[in-house]
Amino acid sequence: MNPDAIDDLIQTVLDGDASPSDVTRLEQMIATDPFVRQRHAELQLAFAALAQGAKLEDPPADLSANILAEIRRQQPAGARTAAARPVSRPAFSWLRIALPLAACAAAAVVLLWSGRPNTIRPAAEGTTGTIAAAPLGSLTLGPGDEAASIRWRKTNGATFALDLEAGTSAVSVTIEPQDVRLESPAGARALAPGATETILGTVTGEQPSVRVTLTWADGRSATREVKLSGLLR
Amino acid sequence: MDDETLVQRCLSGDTEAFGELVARYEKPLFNAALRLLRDREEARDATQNAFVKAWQNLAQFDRSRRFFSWIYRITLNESLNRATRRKRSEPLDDRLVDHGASPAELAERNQQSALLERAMARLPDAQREVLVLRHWLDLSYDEIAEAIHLPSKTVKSRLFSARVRLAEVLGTMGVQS
Repeated sequence: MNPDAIDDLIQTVLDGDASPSDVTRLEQMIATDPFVRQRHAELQLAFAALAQGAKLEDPPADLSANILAEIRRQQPAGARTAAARPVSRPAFSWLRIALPLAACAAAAVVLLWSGRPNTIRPAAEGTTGTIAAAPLGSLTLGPGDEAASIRWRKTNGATFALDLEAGTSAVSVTIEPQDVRLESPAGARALAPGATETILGTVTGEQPSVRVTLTWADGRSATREVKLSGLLR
Repeated sequence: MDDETLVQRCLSGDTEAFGELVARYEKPLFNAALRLLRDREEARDATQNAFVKAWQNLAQFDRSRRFFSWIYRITLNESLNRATRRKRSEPLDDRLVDHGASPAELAERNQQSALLERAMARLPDAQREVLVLRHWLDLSYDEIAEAIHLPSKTVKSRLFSARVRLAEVLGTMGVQS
């Protein structure tokens, strides 16, 4: 038996997937072959350590609530994303046919009236706007719908922006910088329900981070450290 | 209710159905991120971002595949991106430390878990990944193969290498068979 086949047999047996005859065959080889015995002992050590030590940890208690708060925040009333189409309303299902037909008829009238049926304009023609940098990271902090959203993004060179957005309750936000300098004054700032605020800062050291503490009106608070190491790229 | 039905309901805008998927998979995905990042806060953020991205891109999900495999890939990419950013800004020694656990917390943990955690930290990401999928998440070889887009045979050989390497590391830490 070549070494690869021996390794495969040992692993199959330790995985618990081997047939009784394979188990017997391996036991005989262990008894007679020092190489197989040594190899088996090595792998058994790893399997034993994994069996005793590989335990699932419970995720943070508010993780699922924060995830759902975040997706609901991204799906404001009236939004129409592929994953967020509203449930259809059976009572008005005839509108699903009638409205597109009416829209097509209206479009045909407009095209005929303009006399330019082959002209297609880019959707963005004549519009202006700002393209925001993609966020380097984001998190939500707090329970359920009250959770505030915190996003951080690189703006220019060593500068960055922290975008704060309150949840459904007013919240006081305190930011303690480390290895960063904030452009706005230190101290707590109050955010009304749903309010947003952007805080600008500059990286000054090698371990940039900010400690964000939220305090709600009833005295509850939550603190998280936001590591900004991605800004150093 | 199976995953496929829940995904279908999500595509109709049903956030409660997505809540079911979150409840079903937050623990294994958080643990996968935790083993790769070794930092509870970063693992929490990676898991949360993965679920949010899954929600945003659910229309692109190929429903002939398992939902877990798909969202696992998203979590993995999210975790690896974070690990890469961190490696660029932290010295090597810092990376071998579990930032999520204070000495008191470590003392509370099961000794074998702490020892295994330290040994796992010395393995390459690819080897650590297959061990996590097999021994923490209890996936079969075929399920691992689907999750990480490799043939089952490659998964098996990678697991073998990872187990041998883990045994070597445990040996250097004074653990005897």
